[in-house]
Amino acid sequence: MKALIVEDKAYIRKGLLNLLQLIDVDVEVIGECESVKDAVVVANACKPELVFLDINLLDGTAFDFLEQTESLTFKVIFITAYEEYALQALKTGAVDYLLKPVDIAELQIALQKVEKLPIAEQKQQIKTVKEVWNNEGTKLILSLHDSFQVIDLNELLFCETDKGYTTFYCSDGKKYMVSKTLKEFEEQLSKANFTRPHQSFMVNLKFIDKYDKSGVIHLKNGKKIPVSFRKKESFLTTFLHWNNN
Amino acid sequence: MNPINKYILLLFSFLFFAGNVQCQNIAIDSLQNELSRHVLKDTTRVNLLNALAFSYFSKDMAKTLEYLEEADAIAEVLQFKKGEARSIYIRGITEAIQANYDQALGYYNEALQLYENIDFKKGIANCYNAMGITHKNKGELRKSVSYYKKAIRIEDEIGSNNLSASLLNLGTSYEVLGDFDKAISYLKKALSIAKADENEQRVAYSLNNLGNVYQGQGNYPLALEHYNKSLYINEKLGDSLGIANNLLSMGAIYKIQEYYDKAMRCYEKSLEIYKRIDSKNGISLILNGIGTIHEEKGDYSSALDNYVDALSISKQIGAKSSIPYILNNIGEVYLALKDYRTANHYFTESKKNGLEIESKQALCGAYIGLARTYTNQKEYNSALSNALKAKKISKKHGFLDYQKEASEILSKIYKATGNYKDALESHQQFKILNDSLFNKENVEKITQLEYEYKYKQALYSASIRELKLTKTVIATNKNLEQSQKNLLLGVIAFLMLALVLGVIIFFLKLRNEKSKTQNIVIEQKLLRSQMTPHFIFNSLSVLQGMILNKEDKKSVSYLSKFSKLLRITLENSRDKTVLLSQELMAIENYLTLQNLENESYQYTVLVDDAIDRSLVKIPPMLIQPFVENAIEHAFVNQKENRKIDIHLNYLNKELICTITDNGIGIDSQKENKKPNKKSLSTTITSERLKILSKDFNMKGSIIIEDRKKHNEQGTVVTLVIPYKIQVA
Repeated sequence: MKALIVEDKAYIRKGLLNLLQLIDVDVEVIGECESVKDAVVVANACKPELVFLDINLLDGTAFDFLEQTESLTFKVIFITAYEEYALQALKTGAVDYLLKPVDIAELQIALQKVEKLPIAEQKQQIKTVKEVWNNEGTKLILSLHDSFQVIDLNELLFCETDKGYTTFYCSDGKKYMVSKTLKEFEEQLSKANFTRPHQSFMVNLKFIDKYDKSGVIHLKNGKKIPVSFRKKESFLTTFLHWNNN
Repeated sequence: MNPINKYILLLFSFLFFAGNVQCQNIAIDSLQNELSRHVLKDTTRVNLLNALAFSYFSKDMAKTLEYLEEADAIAEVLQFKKGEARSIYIRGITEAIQANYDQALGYYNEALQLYENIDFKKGIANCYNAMGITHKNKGELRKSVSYYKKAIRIEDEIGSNNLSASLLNLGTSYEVLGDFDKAISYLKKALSIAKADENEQRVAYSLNNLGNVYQGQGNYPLALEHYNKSLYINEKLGDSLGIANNLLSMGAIYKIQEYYDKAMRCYEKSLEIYKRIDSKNGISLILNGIGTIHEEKGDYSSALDNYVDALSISKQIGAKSSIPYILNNIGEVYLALKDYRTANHYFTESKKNGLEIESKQALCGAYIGLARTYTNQKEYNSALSNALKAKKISKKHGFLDYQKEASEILSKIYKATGNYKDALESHQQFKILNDSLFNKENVEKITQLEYEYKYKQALYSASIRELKLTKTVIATNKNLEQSQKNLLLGVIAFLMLALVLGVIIFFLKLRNEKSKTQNIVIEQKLLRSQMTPHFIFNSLSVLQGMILNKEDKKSVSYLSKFSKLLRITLENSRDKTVLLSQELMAIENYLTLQNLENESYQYTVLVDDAIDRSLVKIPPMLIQPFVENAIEHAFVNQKENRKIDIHLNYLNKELICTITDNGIGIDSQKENKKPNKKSLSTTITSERLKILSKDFNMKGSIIIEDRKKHNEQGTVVTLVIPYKIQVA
């Protein structure tokens, strides 16, 4: 398997080369690149089957490179200094990544996994990752039963949690249920105009039509969300503040 | 007209035992309080005990004796002669009150000797006075006069406050002796001194005894007036003995005025008191008085019973002054019962006693009794001689009563003997005397006096009520004041509570603020440390590469540099400020590390001489991120001639740091980047600087410029860093 290493640090590239030599695997490193610009050129020229791809490069990111080499068919193993959200969301999926410094055992597992993987499926998932990456803060990846669903937070009305499951209600009427608690999404949602007026609900401030003083939020689509007594004050503060800006 | 029996014992003329003025004036309560506080067995306690004993002798004999016993015991142990003498003297008084005259005189003599040994004049005078009283009570009037005079001489000499008491007693003795002029003179002297001394008790007793003299003179209204005045004061003072004496005297006057019921009431009240204070003499006098009332009512057997009881008591106590009067009264009863022999016997006995004690009144009574007896027995010569004797004595001493009686019996005798001229003369005298003694005017005056007394009493009780009311008002006022005080305290407590609550709330808010600030600080720390994981893991990865590449020396060197940098970073992130030298060391370490990797950066760190890097303290990790930025992003596709210059200078009291590179410039970097991906280090740093400038109260800012403006290549970051100068 012809492989290309895209990594901005020379010693890390050397290290990875050395590691690949240490394990008994059919990988031939045909090139090393330190920038997006170089990598695109080399990839087009050498047509690698596998690319070890650092996420942060000097002149761009891994996704810039992927975009420019869309016509090429190669599998990707991401290399990153720390776990990016976009990758984390797909960890159970077809995209694998290695954390620096690279562990030899993890490298072996990743190689085995990537060998069996249908290239189309990986491409699809990488697209998802890329989308989330580029729109960090506005996109959310939901790990559904059989797929990864990207939802736009600007189109998410509210979410409701119940017995360890969280349901996401979108403006197009679709709803998705994941087996995670609301708490796991709270931080990310809070960054994007969401508020939690009730233990079981997070609401997109954008979609609030009115707040009934009896303690009920009316959404623009008519849905009613209760406001718990304890959170009434903090909700009102957030709500009024948001509307004033 | 029925002969009015006036042979009564008029008086318990009050005789004064010389007391200690201080003791009399201080209430018993306060004395007892003083005693309970003063437990030490010394002379003071003896004095207190004696004072209490003296205060109690007219109220509670048992208590007096109790106090005396202790006083005596302590005085003996202390060899406190004066105290001992006084105890003995008071003991004498207690005996005298119980009419144990010989025992009393024994005690007085003992006390006298003790006083003479220590030459205590006042004590000596007191003893003489007491002895005078006792002799008087025994009927030895001449002796009593001489003792009183001794006492008066000493008291006059030393200016004693007991002078009035002795004068009073002397006057009383003269009264019994029938020398009314001397009696009145001494008693008035006693009264005026007592008034001057403001000694109310003595004023009361002087008045009582004066009343007795006036009664003897037959001036009943004046007598009653004095008794009333005396009674008023005694009641105010709560002096039982004084009240009893007044009542006895008043009873006698009422009896003469034929107000028997009134008289009886007075006697009964008086008797009750005498019994309570165990005054045998008083009891005897009352029994005698009650006897006269029964006699007036014709109840001779009851009268006789009372007289006999009175006589036996008087004899038992040796009250010679009373005996002839009682004997006269018994004689009168037998006379009324027409038992002339027995009557004669009693009158004769009375005459003998009267002569012995020189009681002129009693003697008059006896002579008149005998005259009547003889008249009834038709022995007119004997009758006449007795009647004339009575007339002579009564005229001489101004006993109007007896003069009247004498005139009456003389008139009868003359009539019986046919001497009508003398009979008429005597009868006329009798009429005049009787009218003067018992005229309408007198009756009216007595009635008026009664009203006055009652009015005074009412006034007194009213004043007591007023006092009570005043007390109540004062108490109410106090309560009001108290409640106002309570209200004030309540308000103060409320204000304090409010203040405390306010302070608590303030501190809670302050703490809340603090914790908010702390949160920010923690966040800052987190942000600071978050800037490094990318770097740390990249560095570790580089190190891994070096090792795998078997560049041992280099990897060891890299590792040590990296460790140093990590250490400084960790240490610095703990502190709010670090020395500039330390911060610069971290930066240099960082750059060295980068150069170990690819030996491609030329860097300079320049610090103005004006800045002492070992004194200036700055917030950590402010400069490093921009150096890192330059290395990470400035030199894309630029392999050669990579320059980074760090320059610190001091301008207008501001610490200014510029980080200059010759890379592609910030504007081109932005083009490469995603538009929504802000430079993390810039955002964090500008936020940090905001807080820090507030914290340090010093300007802090950041400007990032592309050097294109100055027709140069690269980026320049200008930091105005808040700082502190470390005081050594």
